[in-house]
Amino acid sequence: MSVADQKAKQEQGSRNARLLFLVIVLAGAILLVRLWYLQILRGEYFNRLAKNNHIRVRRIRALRGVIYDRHRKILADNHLGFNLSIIPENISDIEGLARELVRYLPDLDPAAIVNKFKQVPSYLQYRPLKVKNNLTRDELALLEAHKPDLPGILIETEAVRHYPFDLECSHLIGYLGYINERELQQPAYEAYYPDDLVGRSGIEARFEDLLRGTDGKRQVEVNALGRELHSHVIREALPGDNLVLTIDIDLQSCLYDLLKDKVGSAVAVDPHTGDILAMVSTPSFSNNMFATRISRADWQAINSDPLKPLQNRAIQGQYPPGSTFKVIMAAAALEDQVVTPATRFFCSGVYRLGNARFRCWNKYGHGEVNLSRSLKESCDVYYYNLGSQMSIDRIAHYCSLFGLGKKSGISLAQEKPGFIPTSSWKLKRFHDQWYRGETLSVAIGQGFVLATPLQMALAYVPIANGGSYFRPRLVKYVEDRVNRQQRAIEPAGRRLPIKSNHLELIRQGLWRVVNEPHGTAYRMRVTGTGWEMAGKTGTAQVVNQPGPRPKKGEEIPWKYRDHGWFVAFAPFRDPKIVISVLVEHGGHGGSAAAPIAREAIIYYLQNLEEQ
Amino acid sequence: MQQLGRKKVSRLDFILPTISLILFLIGMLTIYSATYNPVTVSWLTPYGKRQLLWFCLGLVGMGGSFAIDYQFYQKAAYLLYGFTIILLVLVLLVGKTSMGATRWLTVGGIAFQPAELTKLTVVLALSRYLAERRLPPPYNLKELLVPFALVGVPFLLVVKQPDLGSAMLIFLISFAVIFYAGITRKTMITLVAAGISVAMAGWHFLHDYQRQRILTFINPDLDPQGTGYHIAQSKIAIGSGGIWGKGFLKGTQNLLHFLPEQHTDFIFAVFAEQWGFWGSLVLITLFIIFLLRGLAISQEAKDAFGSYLAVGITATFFWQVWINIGMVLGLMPVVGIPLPLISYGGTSLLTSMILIGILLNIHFRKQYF
Repeated sequence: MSVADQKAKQEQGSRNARLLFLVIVLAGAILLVRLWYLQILRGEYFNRLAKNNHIRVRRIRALRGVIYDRHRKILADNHLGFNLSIIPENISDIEGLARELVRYLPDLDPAAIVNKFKQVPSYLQYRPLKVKNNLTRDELALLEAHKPDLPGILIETEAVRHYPFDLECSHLIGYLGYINERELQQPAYEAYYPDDLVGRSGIEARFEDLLRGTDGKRQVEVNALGRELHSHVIREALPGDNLVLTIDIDLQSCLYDLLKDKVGSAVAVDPHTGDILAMVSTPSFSNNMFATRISRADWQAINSDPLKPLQNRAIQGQYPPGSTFKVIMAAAALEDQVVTPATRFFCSGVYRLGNARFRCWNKYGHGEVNLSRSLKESCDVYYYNLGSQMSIDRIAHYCSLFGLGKKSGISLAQEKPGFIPTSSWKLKRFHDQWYRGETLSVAIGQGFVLATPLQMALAYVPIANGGSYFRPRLVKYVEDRVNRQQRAIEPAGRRLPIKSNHLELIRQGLWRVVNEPHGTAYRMRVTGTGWEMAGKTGTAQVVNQPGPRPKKGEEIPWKYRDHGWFVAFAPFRDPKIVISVLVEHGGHGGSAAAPIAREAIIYYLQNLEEQ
Repeated sequence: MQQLGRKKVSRLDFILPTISLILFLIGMLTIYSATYNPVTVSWLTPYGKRQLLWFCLGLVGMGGSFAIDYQFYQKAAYLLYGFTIILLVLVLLVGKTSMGATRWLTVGGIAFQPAELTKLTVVLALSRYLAERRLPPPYNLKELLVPFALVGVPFLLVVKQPDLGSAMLIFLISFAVIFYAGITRKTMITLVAAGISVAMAGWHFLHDYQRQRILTFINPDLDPQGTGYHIAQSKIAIGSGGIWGKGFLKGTQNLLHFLPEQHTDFIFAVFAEQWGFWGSLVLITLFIIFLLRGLAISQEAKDAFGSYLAVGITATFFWQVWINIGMVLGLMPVVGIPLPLISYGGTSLLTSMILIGILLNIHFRKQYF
């Protein structure tokens, strides 16, 4: 292209640029003229309109989603609550009103009310100011009767979260708490207002985004006193999604009743889906206390309790699994061909490694023991022998297959991973190599090994069902409350690379624990029901208690007593439930934990038959 | 060497970046007042924080669009144009639908609107075509067939989404560039006449909500609770600002949440309520200086492509400013177009800053004697 061409085009352009210049200035002038008309010529008129703007936009709170158990029994819903509010612009004598209110509601603090009132900025005078949450029926009646003496008060209704099974499920369902100022600043809480509640633990916290719903907007016309004249919905509130859990509330309540006077936890799982049927932790607390502002005294009582009732022991309590761990050791040893089903070790009651002596729980010894009998009678020496022949890292590998030492991925916040040691961990943590003696402790589920009750239940699922590990499922489906559509959450299972005849051998061993004389839980056998139970006891040492060990369990101070474990499944032929029970400081698992598991299983299977 | 360095610095335009920065700061202040919560006061609201983050990203984009010689844009113009057409087709095939319109493409979890990009690439393609053409202007209708096609294809694709606001902007910006390049008087008259008849015929193809907007614009009392309510409240906010305004953070219409989209499309109302007529006068004057500076850059460009491109970019700002403020003042129907550099919104800020970078680029590489 020639330079002349360019020149011609640019000359043509500069002629038109003069026009564009005019257009820009003219367009700006049009805007300014319009502004002059609105702001100067009619400014007074609009100013009057703004001052008398009787239209207010108010929020319609969305109802929180309902939580159901697997049979659609309600675990969490919303009740009608009554709040006492005052309307600042209608009050002439706040001190007088505060004094008057205290006569009817003695637990109110008049100074706090006056203070709150004085902080309301002038443009928010029309907005009701909350004074007291959740009035009782009596308080409500009293206030209604004396309303003429209390100008400016307003009784407002509000949805209050209600949990029909508060003590039974408080850890699982969780509780709500008021949003704090720091959270309000974050974009994630953009849709929240200062008085809003948010899920603080359990299902309520984990599924906050689904349960909450979307607030609506309402336009109201108010008179000069702030009273609503007309109301008109701009945007409907969309209630939150409902959740249908895998929990069976009957089983949950049964387990809670069995455990409520003890400190411990129980988890029941469906071995064909990984569904969590029940998850109990004791001592418990009432999550209903949190649905409105919790009183200081209640909060302090819960928070300072040495037994930590807020802790969900099923997923946060990490305990040495004791002998219940032997099942994983047995699977590992068979799979790595360290032993065959026929391999026998001699138990004299003690195992020597160098100068160290490792005792069997039975100081008289078990004699010749094969794998099946080692499970049945829980012979420690058999597992010392396995431990001396296996590397800790191989053991850790099998633990990982069974889900130990890592979070299960259950839909609950603050799950603890438990712990399985490895040689590289030891080196990093203590700058020291791994010693064989330490493997012997690990082999009987002591030493550094830690597991949660949930993990132990899940680890027994592949043994019960013949080889499939399941990721725990807590929510069966999410139901859209508006159009009733259901989104199912599918079970997630995977086959373990372990031969089925090995698992079958372990299954048989666990049958013998309960159903053969000399089995460690023989007293727990179930007869006359047409099905049998299998399981494994465990006793976890807490600390090496000072001084010589007294002979009888009852003589040991409570806090030094061993933790009792029992992990079981039933019916033996076609397992429908796997259950793990842990009783803190309960002593031997066979006597502390096994009766609880047994009774819950009987209850559950009978219920199942009736349906 | 040193002398050359100093010369280069002196070739940088200072008016445009300074005005842009002032406009952005006014925007930050207004976003603060529009989103500030009297209960939980802090010096930056979450919106302000995000806007500031986008500004930093915008500086990078601006630096990039400035650094590359704009003649590279000329070479890449058709390629970028073709790429945009593919994106627009993809939107119609696999785009994300929300509220009845399919406007978004999602790549790697990030959603964006190709219509936003289309404004720039159409101007690039148009500028290259007109600049490289051997025929001297002014052009008649027949000679404009190719430019019409260049604009028409993306225009129709955006109409199909439907995103009438963006389509209208593409049309108006392109019209400005073609007009600047030069058209015969007869063509001009024909084009305006055709535009009006298309608009009238198009009425039948509009969606209900679009018709509703135009109808309530003509008579706001028709539907005081719906679309008209927004315009009415916006007029109350601006009008009640009076000559001197209600003062910073004292806009009652804003605080009581009467204004719709107060931090995005209706931000001018928030500003005018607080600062009154004199504040609005300052703001509009700043925009006029900004636009005239853009026009001046187009006159200094060393070649036709640079000057067409500068006009296209200036027109992009012009139409957005005018339509947005016109809408808030009740002069135009409600269309979702943000106020450049002022409204809250990352994409709009980033695009604006990239465009400013290109303007500076054209100015920096002008002919020096």
